[in-house]
Amino acid sequence: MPIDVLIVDDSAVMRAMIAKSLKMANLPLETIHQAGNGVEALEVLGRESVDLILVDINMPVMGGEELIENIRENTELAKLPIVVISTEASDTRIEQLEVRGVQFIHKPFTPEEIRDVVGKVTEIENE
Amino acid sequence: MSDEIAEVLHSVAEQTFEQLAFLFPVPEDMAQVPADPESSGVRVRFSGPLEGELILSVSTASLPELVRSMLGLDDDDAVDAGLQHDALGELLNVVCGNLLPEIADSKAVFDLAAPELLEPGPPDQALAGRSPQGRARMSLDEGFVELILFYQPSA
Repeated sequence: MPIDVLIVDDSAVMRAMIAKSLKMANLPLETIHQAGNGVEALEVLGRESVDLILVDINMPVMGGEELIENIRENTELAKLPIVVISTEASDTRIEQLEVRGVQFIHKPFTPEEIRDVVGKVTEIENE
Repeated sequence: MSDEIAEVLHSVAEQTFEQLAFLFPVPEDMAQVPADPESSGVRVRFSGPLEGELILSVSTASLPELVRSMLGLDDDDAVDAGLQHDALGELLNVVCGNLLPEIADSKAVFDLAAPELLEPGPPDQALAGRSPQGRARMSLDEGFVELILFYQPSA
């Protein structure tokens, strides 16, 4: 079943690259929404149905960690699959994210990595 | 300036440019190959167990191709200055994020500030009289890429 995805990153170039990678990964996509920071992402989540969130960590206004906390504390959104796509390479920080039930993809990434992790969190079978 | 740091800069830059932009920068000997005076640069400051800054300078003529390559655009697709600067900042973020664990350790936690665009000009103008801890220059098809690293242990 096609999925609605929200990409959250303050870089328009990176959002376009992630969208391109999602398409190259042959995932069944319905709509790709985009947001430039956590506040914009919450606005999108308030009005659109989303099945998966791909989020960066370092963003102005509201960063990825605060956005994830907001989502996990919202009873309607708490179970949304979240994948962090970030340059973050500290084992300590990655562990702190993973205990919140998020998956992690390190930048730079390949479409295959996107496909594998997204397939895992959404239980889409890879073809 | 450390040769070891220069090697790490080369290695991280090569991986980043290959995977994000499908470009293959070739390390150059800075003593033999002059910098490009027509360059565009960005800086990112970082803090943590080490504090400092990393500067990425790219030949201005290379930027449109770089962005087209990152986004899979055709040769005749227009790429405005905003997208070019965004791409430069994102490349720098990825290089810096991958560089710091190599010179510190994998458990170290760093904070990176937002990339800042620098005045156009040769990479040397970013030195401002300082001596960097590492510097690396690489060639692309249409120009050069240069990385300049300053850091010191946090107080």
